[in-house]
Amino acid sequence: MSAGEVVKEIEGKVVELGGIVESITETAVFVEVPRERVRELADWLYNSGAFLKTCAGVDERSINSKFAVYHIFGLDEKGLDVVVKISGLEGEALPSIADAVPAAEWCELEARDMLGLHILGHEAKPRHVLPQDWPEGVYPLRKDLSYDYRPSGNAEKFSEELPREVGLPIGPYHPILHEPEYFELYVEGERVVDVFYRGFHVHRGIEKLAESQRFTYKTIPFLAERICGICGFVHSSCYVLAVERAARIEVPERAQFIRSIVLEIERIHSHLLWLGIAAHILGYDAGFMHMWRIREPIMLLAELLTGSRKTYGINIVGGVRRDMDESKKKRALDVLKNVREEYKKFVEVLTAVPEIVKRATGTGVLPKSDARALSVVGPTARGSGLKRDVRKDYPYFAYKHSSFKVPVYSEGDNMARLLVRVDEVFESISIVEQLLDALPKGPIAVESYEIPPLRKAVGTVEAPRGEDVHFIITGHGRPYRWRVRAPTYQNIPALKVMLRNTPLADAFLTIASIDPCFSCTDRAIVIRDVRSGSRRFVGLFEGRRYASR
Amino acid sequence: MQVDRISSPLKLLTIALKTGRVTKKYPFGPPLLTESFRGAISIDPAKCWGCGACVLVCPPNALTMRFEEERAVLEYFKGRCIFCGMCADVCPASAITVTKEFELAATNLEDLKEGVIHRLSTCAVCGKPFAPAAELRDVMKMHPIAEEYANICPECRKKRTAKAFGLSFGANI
Amino acid sequence: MYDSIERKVKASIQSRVGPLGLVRSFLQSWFDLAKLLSKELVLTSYGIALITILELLFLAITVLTLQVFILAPQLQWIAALFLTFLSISSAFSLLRAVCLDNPFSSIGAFREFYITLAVEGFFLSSLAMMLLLEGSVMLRLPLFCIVALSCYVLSGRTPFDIAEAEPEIASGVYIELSGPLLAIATYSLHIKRYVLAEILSYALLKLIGITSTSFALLVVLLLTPITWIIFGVISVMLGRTRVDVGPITLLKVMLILMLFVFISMLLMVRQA
Repeated sequence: MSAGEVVKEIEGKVVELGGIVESITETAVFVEVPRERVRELADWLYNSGAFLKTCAGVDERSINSKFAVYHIFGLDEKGLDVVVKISGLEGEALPSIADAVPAAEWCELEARDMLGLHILGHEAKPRHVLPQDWPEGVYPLRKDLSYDYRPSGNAEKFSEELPREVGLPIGPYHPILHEPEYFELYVEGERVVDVFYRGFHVHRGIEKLAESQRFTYKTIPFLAERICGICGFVHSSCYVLAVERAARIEVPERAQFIRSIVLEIERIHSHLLWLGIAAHILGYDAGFMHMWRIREPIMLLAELLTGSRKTYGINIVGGVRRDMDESKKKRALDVLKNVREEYKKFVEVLTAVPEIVKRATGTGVLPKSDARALSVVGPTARGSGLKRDVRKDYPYFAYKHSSFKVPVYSEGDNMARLLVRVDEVFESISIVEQLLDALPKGPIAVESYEIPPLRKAVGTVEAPRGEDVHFIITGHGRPYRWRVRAPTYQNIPALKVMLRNTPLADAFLTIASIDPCFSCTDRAIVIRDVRSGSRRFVGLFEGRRYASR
Repeated sequence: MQVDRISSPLKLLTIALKTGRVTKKYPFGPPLLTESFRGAISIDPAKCWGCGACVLVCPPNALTMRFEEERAVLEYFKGRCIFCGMCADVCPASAITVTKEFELAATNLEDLKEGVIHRLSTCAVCGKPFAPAAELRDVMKMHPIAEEYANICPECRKKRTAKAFGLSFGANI
Repeated sequence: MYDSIERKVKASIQSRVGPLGLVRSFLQSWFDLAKLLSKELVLTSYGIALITILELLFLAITVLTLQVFILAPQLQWIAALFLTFLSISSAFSLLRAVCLDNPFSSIGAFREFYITLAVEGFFLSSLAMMLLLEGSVMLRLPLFCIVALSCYVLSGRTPFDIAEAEPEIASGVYIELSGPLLAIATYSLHIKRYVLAEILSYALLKLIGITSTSFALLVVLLLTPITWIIFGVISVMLGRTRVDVGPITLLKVMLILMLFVFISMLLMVRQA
């Protein structure tokens, strides 16, 4: 079935349910359905093989007096996004699709917290994204709340409930975690039986900030780059991709190539970083040191090409800001050749260390069915047998000009995810070499562009951790709504399945194997939250457990 | 195969022997920079127009312009700068250069602020200061405008235009 | 001091510099201890202070008795004294960790328990036999193997540092120690490692058959740093094991070696 026929089928189903098709672009279909029928549509899409990407709540009262929720599905084989909109007046109940599509639970809870939407089925669940002492009735993402509103904290609101088994608190302070999050592992002896997660300690209010007067289309790529310290360029690329799709801007080929090259370099550095961390977690510090030594030339290369080791700052709407001349190309190729050789030699040593092999195999298993239900992304999905890769499924930038394999392993344990990343480094090096050879001449940015307001678009980019989704509704001079769904956000619910029955010693490797980047995950709405600076370890035993699925 | 499994970890020693020690001696030696590195910026006061394009484009608002009585101050606060270099890209006078300075720690916050002070020209009609003299001078270099027109503040210019417009219709002013 | 040298060697293998400079290559660990002594002490219970100090005391006595024994191996009661103090001091860190309220500490304690259980019994009995008996090479070889393996395991290095596992359980048994107490506990660990390295060196001498007393101590003192460094190099190349995997493998190996010991003893008896 070709893409055109699929679109026709979707149109037919939507009309049958009483909805309308708003617009069709070459990458996405935007539909709106009456809210009572959304669950049927979600069910039908899910059973036809779509994955849920995310959902975004939007305060559209200034446009049509309603609140809206956009559910974004993706049909991998056709490279098509399907954006389903439902809307309701303030106070009206919106149905949840979480029982048909389990992956939707988190984003619906977030929409509930941030906008005060009444979503059926989620009323009893405690606060997901906002801290417990956030004042009632104050919804950060509503347009009538100023971006620099700061509530006063109230520590008494944190309720205490005694845990039933031995709760082992991991975080927010813990030597192995790089970012603050709170896991509570319920252990029996040395076996983990359950896990409770509470994150969002590092809310920085990026989405709301982008809507405020402080930022314009021009300056948001820099804001996006700082969502994450390791995959920042992915976020800024995804943002400009979404804006360019919304405004139908034609970006010059050379810029697309440069963006792809830098993205792959970021992937290489991120995977090398992760392999070092995985070795460190397992006690093999020599692996950590050597892997980062091998990674150092990549950081230098990034600095040579873009001007900065990490926050590259070369993306702008319509192109890139820095060019690559012949000497830089040649040096890049040399560096990559050396890195490939050293990396190959070292990976042989790393994967032969007996402790690493024994501890990573068979632990943290994520069965394929759970992976599908939770719509996990990235190496987490590819380690469990799902062949999902945005670079192949929804081609963007210059990837169609290169050929590469997507490594997939089906065991679903920590070792599989490790091997996926090991293979991906080799593939990325090869992609960069191909793209450098094929770099076309031309300008690196468009001269000028117009961004008409109230256009919607979805941008998806393959971050080192998985698929990153940005949903944009354009406004005047700055986005009307910008929703970021980082890959780790999608993968954390899978941790609950993976950590069950894992030995405690390997719980950390399991948590690390989804390559968590909590800065990415927690970026949502609340502005310069007082909470994000203070990391009080208050006993957050909420007694909330994810329902066993 | 078994021998392989035991000998592979030992290869670590050969790898280590070959690579030696990679730690660099910084700060007892030179820092590790490439030629593209972007550090703090430096603004050339002689070239700066005071137009404020850099202020508009600076993502973290490290560059701010404030208007005081007789002068305008363009302040660059290194504490907020993200070293993106957008200001250098946008400056019409090429007054901003990106240096390789990154060792910027200071004990006093004020030490991190640099300002470029512009004298404001006063309006020929109402006498109020309205725009940096440098901006007027450089704009006039680019586009020949009558000096008497350029030296009037926007308020008075509006009034004059409205008056001329009305007069051409025969209004009694 | 040997610890600083070990760190320098390990750093080299990891392509790093490690403790910087000539002085620090030898004295870094002392600097660290001095720094710890100047930090504040947060005491959650008086018991842990008492246990920590006692541990150091017992280990000191252990070292002394070992030196005396090497000088005068005919004094068999010194050997008994030495073995007693050695076994008691290894129980101390376990005791301290178990009586704390901290879940990480309990997990660390249990891991230490498993490891020690897998090894200690065999270690002490083999050591006793080695120190006090004279036997054929066939007997001495498996005994030496048991002693060597146990020394490595008990020295708390990767792959067997699971009681302390910093990335996993936030320093397990050491989690509640701070400031001067941590300095004392760390120093105790170093002394224990020294004792174990010395035991191994002496066992090596015994294996080869040199027992003339005047040179023995000297040779042992020279061999000890070498043994220490070898342990350090081995620890760099391996990852950390897991509590359900490591001790069981160790137990299996120990049982096999003990079997060899029994067989050799039987043969010896038959010959005699």
